[in-house]
Amino acid sequence: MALLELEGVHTYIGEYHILQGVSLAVPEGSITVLLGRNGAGKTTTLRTVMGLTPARRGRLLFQGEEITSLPTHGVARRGIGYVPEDRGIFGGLTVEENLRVAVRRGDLPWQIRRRGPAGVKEPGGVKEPGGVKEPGGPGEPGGSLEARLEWMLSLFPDLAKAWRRQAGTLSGGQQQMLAIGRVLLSDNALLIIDEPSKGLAPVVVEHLGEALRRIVAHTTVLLVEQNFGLAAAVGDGFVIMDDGRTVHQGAMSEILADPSLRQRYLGVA
Amino acid sequence: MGLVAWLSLQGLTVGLLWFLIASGLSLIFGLMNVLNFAHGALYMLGTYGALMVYLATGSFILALIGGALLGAVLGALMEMVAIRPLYGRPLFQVLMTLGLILVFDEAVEAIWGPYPIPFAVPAALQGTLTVFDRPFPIYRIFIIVVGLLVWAGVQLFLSRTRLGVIVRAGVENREMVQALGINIRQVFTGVFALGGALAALGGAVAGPFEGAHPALAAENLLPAFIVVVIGGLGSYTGSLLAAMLVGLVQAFVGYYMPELALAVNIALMATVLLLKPEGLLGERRG
Repeated sequence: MALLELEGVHTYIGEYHILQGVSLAVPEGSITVLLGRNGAGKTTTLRTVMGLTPARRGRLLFQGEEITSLPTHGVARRGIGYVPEDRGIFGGLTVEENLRVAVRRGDLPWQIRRRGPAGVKEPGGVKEPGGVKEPGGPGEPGGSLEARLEWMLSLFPDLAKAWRRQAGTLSGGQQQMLAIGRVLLSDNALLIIDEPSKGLAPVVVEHLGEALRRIVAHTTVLLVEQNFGLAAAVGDGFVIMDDGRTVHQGAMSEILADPSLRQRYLGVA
Repeated sequence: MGLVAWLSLQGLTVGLLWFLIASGLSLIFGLMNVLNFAHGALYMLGTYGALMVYLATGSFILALIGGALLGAVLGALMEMVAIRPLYGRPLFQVLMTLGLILVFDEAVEAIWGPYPIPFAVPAALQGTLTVFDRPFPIYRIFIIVVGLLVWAGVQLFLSRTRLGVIVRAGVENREMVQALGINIRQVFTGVFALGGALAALGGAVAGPFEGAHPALAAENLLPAFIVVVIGGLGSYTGSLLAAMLVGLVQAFVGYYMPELALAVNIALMATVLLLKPEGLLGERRG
């Protein structure tokens, strides 16, 4: 069953008719990549899912329930984590404070706040090497906040080192890790990530790709990605958008085998 | 030297009162982009509310608490009833909050009359200290202490509690706070209540210093706005620094050329706007 479904969605920004019929399905437990040229409506599609630019017509279903007219915080609380194109980092806040805002239920335990992320391992004793316990799979409650935090920091160890630094002083790659790490702390069934590779060095992009593959073992991902190399490397399925409409949906292997499809909608051979 | 110290204390007294108004104004603008012109009225109502509690109970501490609570309730009500339907419509907000000034002013005149009501300094805080051969009322020291304690308390709230961190995050990027699952409308109401409580506490503390009269709202609104602009919209610590600066200018210029004090502060604000439009500690808005 599809985790997220959009049926004939139309969105306006002011008087501009941006989305003119978007229909897509994001299968559970996979990475679906939204492809298309600049201005095709990819970012607006993600913002429409989050209720930031609400749909005027059409339906959005998440886990089989309608979310079309929910306010943004309501969409997030259903279990959707959002990483916007500009990353949405709170630059004047520390890494720890950024994470604190994102913890949806409760708060980071005070001993972690006092001692930094080293406090995560206590009082559980010594951690076995390479043996970070992974939180539950998709649809499962997904373990304690401490377990999620530990797992997230094993994906992005830089964040533990920068724990008390102002997020605005981090490198672009670290900010992207923080933006993604932030939505891993809550019990999200779907992550929506807008162009994570934008402005990042190839080696950082590669690291992000690996992290995304590990994340999708637990959580479904809907990704907008202009970097076709990354999209092809991490994506299971794809959706192509053109002029505010979805024009093609399929498995990643299909678009890899069909250069004409890539040429026609993406301008890459 | 003695005169400098004495004038500095004078300046800190008024500066901290303005800080109590300006900090709420600044947080409200930073988070919600609302310019709340009625904020001065909450200061005035804090004075009247505290006076009523003081007359009824004889307890000055209860008077301060009562004044602050009245401000919190009125601030929250103002947000829920008057401002909430108008988010994203700045012109209507300005008209609404300007209209609220008239409503509060007329209400105060109708209830308490147009004439000043004396507000006695509580016995424990009467008397004067001698600062370099000049008399300085103990009550003014009390105002400075309360102002600094409130600053420290709210600073702790903003830096240590999750709600405080959310408020700071919201000042930076409201949309992202919502996308992380936080109902920002509730935060808006809370910040209006906090801002109202701070302004009304300022009015309550100022009561024995200025008395209760209907002009309090108008007299203190302009200096508070100057403080907000100089300190940087949305910057809490910026408000404190700017309030002290504006208070000191007020005291020193006011001592030598009383009629120029406000003009110099406005000139100071204009200079900041020209040289550093985001204010001393404000973030540049994209």
